[in-house]
Amino acid sequence: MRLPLSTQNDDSEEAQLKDLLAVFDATPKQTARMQMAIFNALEARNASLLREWIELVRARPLANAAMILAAAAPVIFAYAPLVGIMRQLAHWAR
Amino acid sequence: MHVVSSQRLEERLEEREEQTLVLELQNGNSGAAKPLYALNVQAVYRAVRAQCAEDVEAEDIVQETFLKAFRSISSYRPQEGIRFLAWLLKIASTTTHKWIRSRRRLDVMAPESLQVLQERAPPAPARNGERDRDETRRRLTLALAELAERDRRVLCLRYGADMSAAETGRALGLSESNVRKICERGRRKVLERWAASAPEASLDFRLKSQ
Repeated sequence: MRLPLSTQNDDSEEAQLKDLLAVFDATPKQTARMQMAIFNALEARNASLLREWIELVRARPLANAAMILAAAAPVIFAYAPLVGIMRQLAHWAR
Repeated sequence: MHVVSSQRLEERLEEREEQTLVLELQNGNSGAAKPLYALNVQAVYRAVRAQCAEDVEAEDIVQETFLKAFRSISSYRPQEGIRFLAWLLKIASTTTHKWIRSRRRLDVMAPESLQVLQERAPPAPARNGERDRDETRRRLTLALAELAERDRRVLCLRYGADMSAAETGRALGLSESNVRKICERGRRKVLERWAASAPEASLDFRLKSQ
């Protein structure tokens, strides 16, 4: 089926412009350079978050240790019975 | 019977693969970021670079775009028929706009920058291919500069990043029909300018005016 002339023109103009804009493609070198910059920045950010946290604990060890314990308490209390049950099961298995 | 072309099928598979990668990244698997970058960098770069006068500027904007996207990946919500790329290009668009404003840089398409481009002597590196490429870029940048900023952005997303009219509209907050109208008008103007800026065309013009 033949398309109307205006549609054909539109399609060819679109194709021409797409071809032209491909001249702005990044070279493999540029792509690699940008990738390195992005992932280095992401890693640096993660590392700096960890460092910040360690420094915070170092600066006020008592207060921060208490805070960490308070945050970990629910986990410990939930985990302790589970450990008990596992031990009991292991005992029976023997 | 509805027949799906192999190219379309490939595209769909790629989209599905991409959505899986996005989900993995959202679930904390940082290893999914690199393939996502590889899948989208070329389209984002092309769309951004077509709005800039220099490579360096485009590279900075693309880096910032991907950093923002990866850091705020949890806020991404997949939508039927809209690729991840549309979300990336929305960020790229805002970043380009802010970049120009916040750094008080010259708008890449501002008259001052254009004058620099116009006055720039055709570069003469060792290889002819590179020279042709630079010259094509220069002429195309000048042709795109004839458009209003919004129209230029629409064209760069639609044809530079190969987005559908719906995706372009979604990324820029425009209706699909509006995008189509802008594209029709804009591409004609750019192609006319492009043809008129050809060295042979200017020679013809000079001969005619003599």
